[in-house]
Amino acid sequence: MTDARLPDARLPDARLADAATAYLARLDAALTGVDEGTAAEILAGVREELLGQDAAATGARIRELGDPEFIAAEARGALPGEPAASAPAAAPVSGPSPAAADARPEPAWFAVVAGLLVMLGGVVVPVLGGLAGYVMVWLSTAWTRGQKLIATAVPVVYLAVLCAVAALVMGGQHPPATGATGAAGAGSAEAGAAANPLLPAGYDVLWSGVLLLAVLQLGVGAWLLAAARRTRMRRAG
Amino acid sequence: MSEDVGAQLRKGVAEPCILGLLEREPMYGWQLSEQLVGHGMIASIGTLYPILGRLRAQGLVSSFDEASPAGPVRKFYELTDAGRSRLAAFRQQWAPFSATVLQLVGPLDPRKDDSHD
Repeated sequence: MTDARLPDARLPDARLADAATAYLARLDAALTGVDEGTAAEILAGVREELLGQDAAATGARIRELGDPEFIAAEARGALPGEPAASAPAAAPVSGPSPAAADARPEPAWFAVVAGLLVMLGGVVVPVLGGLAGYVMVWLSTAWTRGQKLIATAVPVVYLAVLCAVAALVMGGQHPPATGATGAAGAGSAEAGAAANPLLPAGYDVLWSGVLLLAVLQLGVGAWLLAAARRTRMRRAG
Repeated sequence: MSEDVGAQLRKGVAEPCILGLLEREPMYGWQLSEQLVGHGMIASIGTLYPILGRLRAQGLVSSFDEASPAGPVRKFYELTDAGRSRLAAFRQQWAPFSATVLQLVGPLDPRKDDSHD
């Protein structure tokens, strides 16, 4: 009943050896789709054992634990849904959480629609379509948190870089605005050219960038769909 | 009976085995897992925690945090009164139950066992 300490189990600890941290990260990723309370308990249990061990003991413990995927598969197999031996009225595992009561597996189409929306949603309904896809991706259990983060970070980082580049291009064209005095003979044509062509250049960068984002999202969506398919096959097998 | 018979039997008795271990002393997850894996009752620590969660949700087991002398704070599990009653009820049923099963399936035939594997 003392679940207050569980979130800590997901945080890296400076005292943990690299191997332990890496193992916990793999375990965390493998536990995707396992009831959240149970996943946190498993992580906390493993973490408290690996914590404070010397390197050799940590290695031995990790070998003893074995493949994180196997542990996660066992956790899935042992969760409610299968006939619980002596517990006909078994309550949901992590009682207080209302989400835990709804432990039905997610339908396969959910991840497919989410991936397709990430791929094409932004083209069909600009901005909102893509956002809807990402909301579904984050709600889905088909991906690990790491995969969700990567899929989200790609367009965010890309847009940040794009805006920075566009700002640089636009900014770079501004300074000579009042310094046209030296070009007296060039006349008003050049002055006009210095004032107006600013917009097309900046927009060029932005529009090309947005088009490239659409292409990028095709790749991100395809990657998500492939990852979801791999996860589904692994869980089925 | 497509599944391994041993696995089915273990599933049925993993819960009372955990209750039995915890009746001796409060234990933390890794301790329980080592004991149960060592005796072949569960395959991994991944099996243990969902069962512990069920036992806790039924009020048969409770947990508390305690610092161990040479390590971090551990989450220990202990039996509740309801857990003790459940264990006692299981003990009462187990002996006649296993005797009945043995009577129905018959004792192990050593000759057959040798020829088979």
